[in-house]
Amino acid sequence: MSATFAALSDSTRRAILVRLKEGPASVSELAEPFLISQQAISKHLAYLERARLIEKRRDGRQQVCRLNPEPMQDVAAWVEQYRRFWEDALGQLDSLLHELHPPKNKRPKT
Amino acid sequence: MTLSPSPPLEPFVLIERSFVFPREIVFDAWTDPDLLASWFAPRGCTIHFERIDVREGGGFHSCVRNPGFSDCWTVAEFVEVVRPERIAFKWRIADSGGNAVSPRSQGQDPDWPVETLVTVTFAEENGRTLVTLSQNVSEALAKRTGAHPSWIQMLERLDELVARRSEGPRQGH
Repeated sequence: MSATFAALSDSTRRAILVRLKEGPASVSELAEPFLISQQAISKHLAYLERARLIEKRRDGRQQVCRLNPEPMQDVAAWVEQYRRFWEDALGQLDSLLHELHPPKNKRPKT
Repeated sequence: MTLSPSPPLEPFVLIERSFVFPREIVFDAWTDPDLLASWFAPRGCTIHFERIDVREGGGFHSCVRNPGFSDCWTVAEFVEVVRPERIAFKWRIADSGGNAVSPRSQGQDPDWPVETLVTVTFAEENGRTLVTLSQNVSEALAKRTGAHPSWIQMLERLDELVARRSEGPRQGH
């Protein structure tokens, strides 16, 4: 997890991931929108690869990068677990309040 | 105990829910230990408070029991308790003795964000109460690991997209 977070602590690397969300891209395609050298981009890509956020494959003369979702799924599962807890608990709070405070003018006749 | 004055972190959980009750009633269900114990758990689970003291500087030590699973202990420290407007607490995984435990002991990565900050606000609108709940990773942890929640959200969106492409749903833990 720490590798994932460290890899994401840089805005260039985050931008690269957002680009890869659209689909696999070559190193030169990834370097294009940035005002930094391809060498610098390669360093960022190596960083992302070490964090397992991307995978590189050789396709003919060029290297193609694609997103690896696994480290992110761990983070997403962690977030989802809290979200589900709160949705459940607040639903139960709502039921409890209705039980404790039934509407006074609509009490069913016995 | 005060919160850091630096810019607030973007929450990774943000939930709004409207209740058809005045906000004192909704607020008190968060601060009365008996009432809290009857709803503050996942569906199908029960919660038991080993210790609870709802005031600023106070906290709780709780155990959630889930049939078929192991008990889940947590500890919290109340940072703000302002009736009937606002409650904030720091929350983390603990053991049965009330000690905060490492993420490693829970089978998680050592840098996993175990401590979170939960902030709940209660706003009254025409006799109804709008509860807004947000949850952040703690600022200290965000600084140490770079776990800025907006990145978590970005990851979540990326993950959703990729999940749609993959063959089947991923098995939960």
